Amino acid sequence: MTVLQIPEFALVLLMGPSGAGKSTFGRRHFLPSEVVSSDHCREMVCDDEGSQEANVAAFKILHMVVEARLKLGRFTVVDATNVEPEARRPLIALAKKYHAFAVAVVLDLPAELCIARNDNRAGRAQSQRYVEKQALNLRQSLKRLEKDGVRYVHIFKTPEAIESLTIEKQRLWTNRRDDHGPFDLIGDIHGCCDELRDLLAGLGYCAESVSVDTTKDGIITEDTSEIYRHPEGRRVIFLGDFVDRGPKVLETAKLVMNMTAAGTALCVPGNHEVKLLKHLDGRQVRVSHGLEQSIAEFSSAPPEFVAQFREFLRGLVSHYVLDRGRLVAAHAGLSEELQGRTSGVVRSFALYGETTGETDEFGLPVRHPWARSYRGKAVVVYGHTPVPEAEWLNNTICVDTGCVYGGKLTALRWPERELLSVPAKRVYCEPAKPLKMPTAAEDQRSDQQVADDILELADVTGKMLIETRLSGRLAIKAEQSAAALETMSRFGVDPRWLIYLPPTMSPPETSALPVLLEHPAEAFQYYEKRGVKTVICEEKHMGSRAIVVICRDAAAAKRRFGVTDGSMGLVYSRSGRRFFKDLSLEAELLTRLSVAAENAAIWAELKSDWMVIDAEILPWSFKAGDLIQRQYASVGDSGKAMLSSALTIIDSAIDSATGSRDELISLSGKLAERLDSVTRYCEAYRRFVWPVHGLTDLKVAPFHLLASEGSVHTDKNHVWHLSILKRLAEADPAVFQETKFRLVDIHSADSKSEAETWWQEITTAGAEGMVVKPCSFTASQQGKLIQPALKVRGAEYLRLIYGPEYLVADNLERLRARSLSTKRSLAIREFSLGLEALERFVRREPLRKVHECVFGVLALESEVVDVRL
Amino acid sequence: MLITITNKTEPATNLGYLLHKNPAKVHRVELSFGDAYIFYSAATEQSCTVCLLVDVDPLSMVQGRGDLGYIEAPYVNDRPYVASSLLTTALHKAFGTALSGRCKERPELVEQALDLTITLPVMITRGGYQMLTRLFGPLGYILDVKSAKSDEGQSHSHHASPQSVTMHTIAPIREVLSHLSLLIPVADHQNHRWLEAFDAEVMLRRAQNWLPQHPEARLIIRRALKHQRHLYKSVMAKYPDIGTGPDSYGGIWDDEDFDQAADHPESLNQQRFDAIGQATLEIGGKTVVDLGCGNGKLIAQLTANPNITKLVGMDASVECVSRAKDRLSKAKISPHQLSKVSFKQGSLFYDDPELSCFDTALLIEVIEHLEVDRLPTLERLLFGRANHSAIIVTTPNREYNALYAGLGEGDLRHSDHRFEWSRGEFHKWVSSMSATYDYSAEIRDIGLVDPSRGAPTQMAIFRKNRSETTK
Repeated sequence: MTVLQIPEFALVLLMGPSGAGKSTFGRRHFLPSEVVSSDHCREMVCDDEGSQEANVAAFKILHMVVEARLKLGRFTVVDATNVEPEARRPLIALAKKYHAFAVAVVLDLPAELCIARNDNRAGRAQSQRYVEKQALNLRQSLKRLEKDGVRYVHIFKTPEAIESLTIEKQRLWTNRRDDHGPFDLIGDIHGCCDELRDLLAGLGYCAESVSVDTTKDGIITEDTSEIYRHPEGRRVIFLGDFVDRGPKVLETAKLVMNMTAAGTALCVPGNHEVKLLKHLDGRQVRVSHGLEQSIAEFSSAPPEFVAQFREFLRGLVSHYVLDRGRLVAAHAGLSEELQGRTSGVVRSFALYGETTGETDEFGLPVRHPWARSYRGKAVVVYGHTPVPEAEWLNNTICVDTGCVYGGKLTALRWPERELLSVPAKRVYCEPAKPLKMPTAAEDQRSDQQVADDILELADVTGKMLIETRLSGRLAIKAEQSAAALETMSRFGVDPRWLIYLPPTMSPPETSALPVLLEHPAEAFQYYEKRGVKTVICEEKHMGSRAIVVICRDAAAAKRRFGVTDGSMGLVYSRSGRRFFKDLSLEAELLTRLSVAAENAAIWAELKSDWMVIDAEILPWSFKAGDLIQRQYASVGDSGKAMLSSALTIIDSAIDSATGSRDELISLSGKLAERLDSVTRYCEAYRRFVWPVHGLTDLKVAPFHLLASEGSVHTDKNHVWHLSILKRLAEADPAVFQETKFRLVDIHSADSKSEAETWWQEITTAGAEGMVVKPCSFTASQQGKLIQPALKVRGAEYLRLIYGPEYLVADNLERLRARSLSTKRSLAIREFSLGLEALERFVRREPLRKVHECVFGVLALESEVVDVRL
Repeated sequence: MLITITNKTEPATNLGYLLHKNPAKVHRVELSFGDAYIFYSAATEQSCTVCLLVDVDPLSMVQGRGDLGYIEAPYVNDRPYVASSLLTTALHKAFGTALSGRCKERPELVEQALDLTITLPVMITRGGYQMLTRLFGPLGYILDVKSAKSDEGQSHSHHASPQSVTMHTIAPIREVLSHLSLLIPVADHQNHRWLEAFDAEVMLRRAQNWLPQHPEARLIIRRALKHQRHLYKSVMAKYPDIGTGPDSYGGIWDDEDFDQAADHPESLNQQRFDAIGQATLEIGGKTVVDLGCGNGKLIAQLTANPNITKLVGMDASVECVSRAKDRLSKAKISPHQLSKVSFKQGSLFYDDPELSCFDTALLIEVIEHLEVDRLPTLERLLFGRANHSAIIVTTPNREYNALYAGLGEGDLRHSDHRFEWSRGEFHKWVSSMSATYDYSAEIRDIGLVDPSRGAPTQMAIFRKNRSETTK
């Protein structure tokens, strides 16, 4: 049995005249979906697989399918005669375009045999001349296949040879997806072996001496060689450029080689290794860029070692795709479409990066900033370009921190994503250009912050799919994203500040009590049913929802948010619109908040110089003054005026009536009741109205401390949130107000009834109501999130929602049927998206990744739901 | 809602015959949105007052019951209380016979002018007292308008607020009912009814005795037709003599839009279009993108420029984009011209490679609708990234606002304007853009130039500087 090995990512051209058995071969050795057959394409377009008239259309489809598969990195087999160069050319071009190996499997059977087989095939009798011509074409093709760009050619001349064949897919050298590490990726060493040893020690690797037999001048001598091994089995990935320039090239080379050989390290080549290899191979290279150091050291090295080292270098693979495809290691980085593929283009990118072809004022090639537009899922760790600090940019990180230039040697721990550096002991080599290039225009913000200046339309249009930690993948419909695009464009604040939007909140089921629409009992029931033991009841302030993103000072804002206009934060509404029209008032509030947080030792406790606070800002009239005048007041005024004149007129009609007074009297009673409703309604909204002349007329009532450096505080319960925020109210009571709460044991009737009484008291006194939440920030039942909060609004307040007269007569009965499911489903999705945005921000993901979540919340808010809920 | 009509022409109780409603009884009429009660609060020889009380079911407003079905109406709604088109419906149901000028028992009374006093305890009028006098004054009514607001709460002059209206006239009841049933909804701040229900023909037939002579006839018809231009045009085509009086509210389509309601509204807009058309010709490019195209009016005009081969309109609003498409498809534009045009939803704050590298990009009356702190993003994208050869920007000149009668100190021309720049501020911005992004700029005036305050609109034309060699 013969085993034929084919690379796992290849475009296989089955070649052979009609009747050679290509389709049978394809069926036997490959998945049906891997084989793209011209017969099948012909059949698709004209019901007849043999029709030559359909050829043009059929091949169009064939090429389209092949291209789509290769683009996705799928192994593909083309079942067509492929005997003519014109037929093969576009296919080979596609293989090249997508960096797939082009492989020819030639079934070169005698023409007579093919003709005989064709004769037995129903409806497929090909003319003898035709098959003979194909066979001739095939034989002529064989000579030129490799020249045309086919990497491997396998020819089989007998039916027996074909019969006895098995095919094995050969794993690509770059594919180490099943290697999960953990790893420590180390950037350009350039002979800084001392620093390398320090770094390895710092990473927890231990030096071992291993005896190796070295052949020197024909005499076998025992030599000791050092390797480093991690007690927990971690491995190093050397990112290339460990030779040239520095003081101990040979030592470094030995260490890298030995560790790789011992399996405690992986290594990808850098451009310097490639050039050194050329030199060692005896080819002409320009001795520059530190090659001279390597040459000097290698000239005195034992030739056996040099030979071994050359072998080692020759065996290095351009890049690795590791850990389920989540990590890519390449010397100069690698764009997404090249990852895990093999070609000269891939190798060149991995070694040299992408250059624009120009050189800068220092004579160095101008590099195309591929990482700035990198959108791939895999983290790319690379070196090649010395940078002062290793910084994340769009899921990529350059860990070449210029050790040889007096910078430092840096390692990235994977999957921890932590950085560890050791400083260079000295400057070994003067850099051609300074490591730190001050660029005035970009204000010395990080590369990521500069890249974040531009968000792309394509990311926020059409159907969106957003992965969330809490609710998995959430879909945003195209019309929802279109609505959000309009809102964002017309009203949205700077996306750099907009790192969270709050979810909508559902009321409980309609109350079982006849005279109420909402009551806490149903909220308790909801959580009890879902296994929540302790809930928290928080007073619901009637103002306007505000998200406060605040930094300790403007410098922190610049550092963390990349905002350079001198602001230290921003307050925005739940629709992402700036809360304050008066910016000086906003600035004053932010300053006071920062000072209060200082005095309350909140900054210190959080070890952060920024935080996100969810709050209600009172009074309602401050933001909604216009709405209150236009709608609420005008309804109240109109209602009172109309009903009282009607009552006066009816009373005089009753006085003067000659006939049926009863109907008038009952009408009068009804109108009096309505007037009472409208009067109560006016009282209800007037409680939330007071004039604001300055900051101290406002009350800011925070209730969530959502996030600060390093964490999203959903792992802490609501008591923590309210307690830490209460310190703000204690520090500056003129502006900040605490949110009162009650903890309720869901299984204690007393505890519940006490909370219900409290609700009754505060709502009668004019409060909006209360919010009932699981005491833990998030709660789920059987792995699915449950409502993070339910609002239970007071009977009087609800007049502002359901109209002044909602409690009158049969009105209430008709309002009882409320459908909560859409609202609740939205609440959970928006909650998940909002927290996902914060998670991503905390993890320093690119702004577009944060923005898509916030944008998603805004998009879901365009969904039509009963606005009274 | 409530209306009372008092007759003081003796014998005042004739009102009962005219209205076909016996003063001794309480009459109830069922309506889709509630019940109407008709009763008399006085019925003597000297004075007879009929009351029409409409007990609106507030839930019918929001639950889509009845023929109103406005689910979009706010849940807290003044409709149960304020005189509106609902009152017109009630008037027609309650006093239909009187409206049609019939009176079985006393036909001779129909044309008798009566001494009538009408009270409407609550009206909210778009345009306030002034509008009421414009509507009712020419018909011979003497108005007494008082605020119906309770004393609490501060008043905002620019909000329509509830008023109690008393009107006195001497006229036949038939005419008065006809006036009220058309003019109440026209005056009302929320013109709820859709046209289907408020048929133009029926409206005109019912008002044919008085509307054509009314000096504000055009305004009345426009408001009654909810400012739908095509309907207005078709009505006007049928009745060319309508509104021969001074058309004091001349040609204003959207009286909420101050920019258009300014002294020479259409001409300023047209002058702006002309100036842009002229500048586009001078630039001489083949491809034009209108960023913030609104309803596509400018795009429609630019199709006339034969040099342009590609015209793209972008707007953040999906609705605007679809309206613009609609406008273009209905406009008298040849298919060839139309084939150059396309529209898409987009945003000035997100990078869109599809909208880059145009010969001319237009940003017409757009930037003032954006928050100042968001402008740097727009600038980076539009000037720094999109690589347009020329960019035309227009925006209001704030200094000119003093010349608009309706604007107070510091007021902006449109409620959505986030800022308006003086000439100095605009100059500064233009030179900063030119310097930062390597454009040459020229500033032009649009509209009548005031010697001390400049022109109402300012325009900047940016041209990308190209080095000689690349040219």
